[in-house]
Amino acid sequence: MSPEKEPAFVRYLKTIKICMLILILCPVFLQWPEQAHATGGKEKRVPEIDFTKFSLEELKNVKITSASKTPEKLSKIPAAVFVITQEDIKRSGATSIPEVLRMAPGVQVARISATEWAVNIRGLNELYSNKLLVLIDGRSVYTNALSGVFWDVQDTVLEDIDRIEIIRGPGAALWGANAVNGVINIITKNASKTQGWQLTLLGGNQEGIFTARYGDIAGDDGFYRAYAKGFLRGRLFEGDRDIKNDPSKSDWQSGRGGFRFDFEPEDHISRVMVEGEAYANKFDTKDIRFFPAPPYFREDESASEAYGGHLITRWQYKLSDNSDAMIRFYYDFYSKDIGMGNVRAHTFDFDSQHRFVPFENHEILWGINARFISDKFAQTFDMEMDPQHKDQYFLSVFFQDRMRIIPDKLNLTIGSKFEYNRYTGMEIQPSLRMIWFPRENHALWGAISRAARVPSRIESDVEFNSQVPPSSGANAPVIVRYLGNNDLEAETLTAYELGYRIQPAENWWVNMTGFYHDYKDLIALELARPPFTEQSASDRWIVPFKYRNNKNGHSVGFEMAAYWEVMSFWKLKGAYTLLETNLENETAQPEDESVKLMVRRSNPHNQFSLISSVDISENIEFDLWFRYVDRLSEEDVGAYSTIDTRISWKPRPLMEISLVGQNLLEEKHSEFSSLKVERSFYLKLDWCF
Amino acid sequence: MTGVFSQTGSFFIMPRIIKSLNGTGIAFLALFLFLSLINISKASGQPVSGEEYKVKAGFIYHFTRFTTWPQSTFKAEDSPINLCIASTNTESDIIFALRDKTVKDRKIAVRKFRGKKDINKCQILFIASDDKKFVLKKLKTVKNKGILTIGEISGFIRMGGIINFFKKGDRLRFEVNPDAAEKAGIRFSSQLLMSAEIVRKGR
Repeated sequence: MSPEKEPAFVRYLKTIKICMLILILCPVFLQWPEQAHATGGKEKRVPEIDFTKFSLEELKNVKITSASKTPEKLSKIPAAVFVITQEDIKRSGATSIPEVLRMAPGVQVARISATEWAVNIRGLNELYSNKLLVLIDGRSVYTNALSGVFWDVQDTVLEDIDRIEIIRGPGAALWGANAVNGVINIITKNASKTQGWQLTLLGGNQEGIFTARYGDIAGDDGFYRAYAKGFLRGRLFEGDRDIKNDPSKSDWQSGRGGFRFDFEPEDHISRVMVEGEAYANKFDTKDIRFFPAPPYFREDESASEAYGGHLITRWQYKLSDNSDAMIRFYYDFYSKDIGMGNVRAHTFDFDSQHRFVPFENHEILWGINARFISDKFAQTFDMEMDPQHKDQYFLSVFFQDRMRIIPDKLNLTIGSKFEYNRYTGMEIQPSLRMIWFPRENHALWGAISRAARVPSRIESDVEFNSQVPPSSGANAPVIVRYLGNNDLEAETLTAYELGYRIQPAENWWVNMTGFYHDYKDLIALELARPPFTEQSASDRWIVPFKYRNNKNGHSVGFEMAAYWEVMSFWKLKGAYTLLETNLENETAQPEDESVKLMVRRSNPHNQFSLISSVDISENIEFDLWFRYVDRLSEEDVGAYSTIDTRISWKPRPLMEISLVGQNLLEEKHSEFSSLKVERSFYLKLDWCF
Repeated sequence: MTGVFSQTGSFFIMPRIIKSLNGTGIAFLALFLFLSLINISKASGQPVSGEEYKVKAGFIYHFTRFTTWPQSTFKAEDSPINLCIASTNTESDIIFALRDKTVKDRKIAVRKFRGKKDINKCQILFIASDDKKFVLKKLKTVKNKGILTIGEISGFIRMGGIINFFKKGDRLRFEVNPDAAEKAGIRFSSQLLMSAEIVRKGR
């Protein structure tokens, strides 16, 4: 398939189509309150049943729905939220955090190499998506060094994750800068829920994982757990290792250990959490080294290493029935090799929040955050940072007022974050959100918000010399030089969102969201001046690029998530994403085609996921996961469909054996780069005692 | 930026999905549809349903009614019955709703069980956990102390527990160990024993 240029009017047609869909659906929504009125106003759903009034025999006939497994209650949050539960993680068969995220609507996940994923929400996807904030137990794993997340080192015992909350759209009013396109919040279980031993052993044709966790009580009111996890992804994608410019990595080894301690005195007034972890990560890589004389390039095998750790303490205090406070402090350290270079960073973060109800129908949430980051880049022959070492601090205050304009009918949330940083000064990031319940189990919400992304260290301070092999015509080697820019402004987004949720019965719900994102001052590389010849040891042809706020852009999309419990033993979960992105140059100057080659990014226009979970019997589960991902037009990667399947058997309670097959439909497929993701299998034992 | 879209339109991707499937995929898809249709036609009337621990609270209330403790257990005619909860989950906190219900002039008091020091403050101990080690530890602490132990883990009776909840399909059942009850000095009325699914001798 050859990419076709699309006339502008076709693009407008698509936008119009989305608007029309929203308009067509709107009158339907608007009719509901009238109906509700006709039936006598507010309907009371299932009343609270007092089971003490039942006799023993009657009780034996009551169908039980366990609280943890009941379908997600209709969320009252005026934002596009999706929650992945522990049960979802287990039944997906996924073995890493990015793979789990594939089930969420609006999230693009593509494997780039054995150790790299492109993960983004509502935007052009790339290796380090710079507008997506990721938090693990409140700790930001978004690195300011290059604005993005190192997905290869973000891991934990997947069985100990309680849930993953995915908030699409700007979360900046609460979370602050860089929560532009979305926030992914990974929350681990309270230590009281991970008591005793849990061992998991996983082995397959692509990976081996071992985890051990032990939890016990600590004193009268406390619980703890300690864990260790290691994995080996040794022979990943063997057949594709020799692809030029795509050094797929092998022999990936990772080990980590940590603990969590939760303390909650009987009075339930205060809660304390302490959590710590240390990890090391290593994989083989190929570095392409440059020499001034022919053949100019040599490939060197080397190891890419990363290690780090963190310590978090959190204290929650209940001041009264409708007022509480939270204070959190964390320290995080990492050292990571990037290409031939290395970056290490220490982060100290202090966060506090206070919620209270000053008068009826108003709930105020406000907080203060202070963050200090000290980083250091290693100098390499191709990358130089000026300065190599930098200390930065970020200060912010936010407040939010949740107003019940008409109790149980209409809520309005206004809030803003005021954030100061030394790159771009003060960033004001307000949001206005409204949710309306036309009748019970229906919610219509809308939001307008502004968010900002602060330039990364690389974008401000780098000088990177990328060597290009001389073409047959040229004599001198060509060097593409990237230059950082100290005068960059923050990238900003104004987002318009409209969503609808409906849960007509206990056993099914549908969430729909449409959005329009308007980006200003996007940072991109631009030819700084005409290419020139530089005289050093030998002549070099230099093509200098500089980071500039030179682009505007917009994206339009529609996201849908649906859940249907067909029978008590059979559940279906679906997600559909439509995303259309457009970038425009601020200046009339046309974009240099070579920039597109340097920064590889693209998103599929359509994505679809359907998960079927069947409990065949008390101890046998069978899951199927179908995914369709559209082609990447900018990357010339074709569309693919795939199926993962999982079958598990519990020979005895607390012991589970599962067999998982991944990417079964084809032998292999590309997702982002020329790397092909292959069909794989594994067997897993999960044993608690 | 070239936005390349299919001519078929953005919302109607099904034909394209199907086109991209091979035989296996179509088979799976067909299976999905088939099973969905079967199950739609099977829709039935809804029985009364409730959250697991709310229903368990109902059971526990009745256990309290049908249990007789040794005379020495209560100081006065209207001393409260203390229901203690040892739990490794938060859902079981619903049981606290039994607080202030009355059984034969006695109020029910609900509290968290924190260990040895609470033994004399409990007449009932509900161990809401499927963690065997946790359960064993609690059972050991209260063994033969005149406390009615209630559990929800298979093997609870064998471990020396007195009443155990288990699930049969999506309904709750309970089993009773009269030997262990006797050792604890507890007597049950026949109404309770008749509703119990299995009256198993402790081993």
